[in-house]
Amino acid sequence: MRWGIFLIFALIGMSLDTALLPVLHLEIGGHIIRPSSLALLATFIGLWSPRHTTLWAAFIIGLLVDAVSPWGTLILFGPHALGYLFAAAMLLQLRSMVLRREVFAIAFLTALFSVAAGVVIVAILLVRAWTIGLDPSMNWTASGELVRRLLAGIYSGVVAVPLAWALFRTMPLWGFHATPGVRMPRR
Amino acid sequence: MTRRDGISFRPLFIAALLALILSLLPARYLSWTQDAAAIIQLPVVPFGHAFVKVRTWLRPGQTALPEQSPALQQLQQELEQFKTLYQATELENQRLREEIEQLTLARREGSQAAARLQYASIVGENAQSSGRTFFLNRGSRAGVQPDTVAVHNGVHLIGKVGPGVSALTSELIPLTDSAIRHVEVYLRPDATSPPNNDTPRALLKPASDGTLVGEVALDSGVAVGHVARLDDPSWPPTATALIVGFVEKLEPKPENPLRLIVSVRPRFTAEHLASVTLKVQTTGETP
Repeated sequence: MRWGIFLIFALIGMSLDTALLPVLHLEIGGHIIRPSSLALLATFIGLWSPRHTTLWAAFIIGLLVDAVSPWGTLILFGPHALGYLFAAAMLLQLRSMVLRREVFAIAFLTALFSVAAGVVIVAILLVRAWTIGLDPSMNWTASGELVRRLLAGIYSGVVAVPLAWALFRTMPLWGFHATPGVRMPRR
Repeated sequence: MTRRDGISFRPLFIAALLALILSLLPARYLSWTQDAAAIIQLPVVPFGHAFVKVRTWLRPGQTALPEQSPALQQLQQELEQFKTLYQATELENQRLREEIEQLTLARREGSQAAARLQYASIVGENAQSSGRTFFLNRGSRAGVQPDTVAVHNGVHLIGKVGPGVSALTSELIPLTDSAIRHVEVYLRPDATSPPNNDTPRALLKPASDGTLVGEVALDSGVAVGHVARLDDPSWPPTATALIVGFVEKLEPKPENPLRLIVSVRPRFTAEHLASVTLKVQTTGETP
């Protein structure tokens, strides 16, 4: 994988997630649900890259998400990075079971990826809440956050359908090489 | 920790361990993360600008009534600004009179808080927050502080800056976000005369439908279309008499027939704007 291309796509994904995709937000049961394009990007890379690259890319994407996700008054570099890392590790176990050239397969995996990352993020924040406490300005409950992330994960999967189609068009730019057990898409 | 192909996972393991430690460090050791995040966000700003433009194009806000000519719109804008200025001054006068009467203050820094205006672009939305908060491209380097007031067209209150302000960016908490617990307003027709003791007041709380909801007495005289202006001591003085919104709905309160539930809808909201004006409070010179 070309890391320069990865960085450009990651920055575009960050901007999409903070500036454009919120326009598609839904309000369900008092939860504001927003889709994420970065989860799709991490899933996309996870389907086509070697293990090592997949894990590092997910970790870096998680750090970028952490940078734009203040928890109250605090920026924590860690919860998303670890959440994405865990989700990428899970993805590596699943990727040989799906037809990765299928847009719907990547959309489904994006939803799974988001939910898995969300569980880890909530777990880390829960540990933080128990040990040193969260910022008092945070209006946060673990159950509410879990529900929100579950719904956001499903929604990210839905929004991933058109985005994945667009992402597949950029395949030649990425410089992916065939990895063991991975079938490359037909040209 | 090394794979058969010779690639070591040790650096990744160490990075993950560091991330876990950072996640659980007390806040006093993490003051640097704001600046680090600001540096990471810098390259995103150009893309963010473009996407916010697209967003405001896709979902434009209500800017003015379409049948009004530009000259009339400008005159109305100026009129609103003068009304705001006049009423803010009158309210401040009332406060000063009370203070003098009670002789509780020995000295005061200034009669009215001065403000320096700072144009700020909305460069994104905090996708992780449970509410809807927005990133601004102005931070402490531009004088922005927590609670700095954000307005549109000079008189329409949009929200205030949240507690996390970095050198280059800050976070805008819109007026309708649940993080704004409540705002105290006075409600009256859009007249130029200042409010008095009989002017109905209400404590408005953000509702989930983008309005602010409160209660007034049945005989208060509040009607649909009345203007709600801020008069809340918990907000900075620069926000006094700014327009919170317009009364959209009045309903009897089921539990108390002598009270009405009033719904106020802001005319402008942050999600439909590409920029706001920050009223950065400047401390007056001490005499």
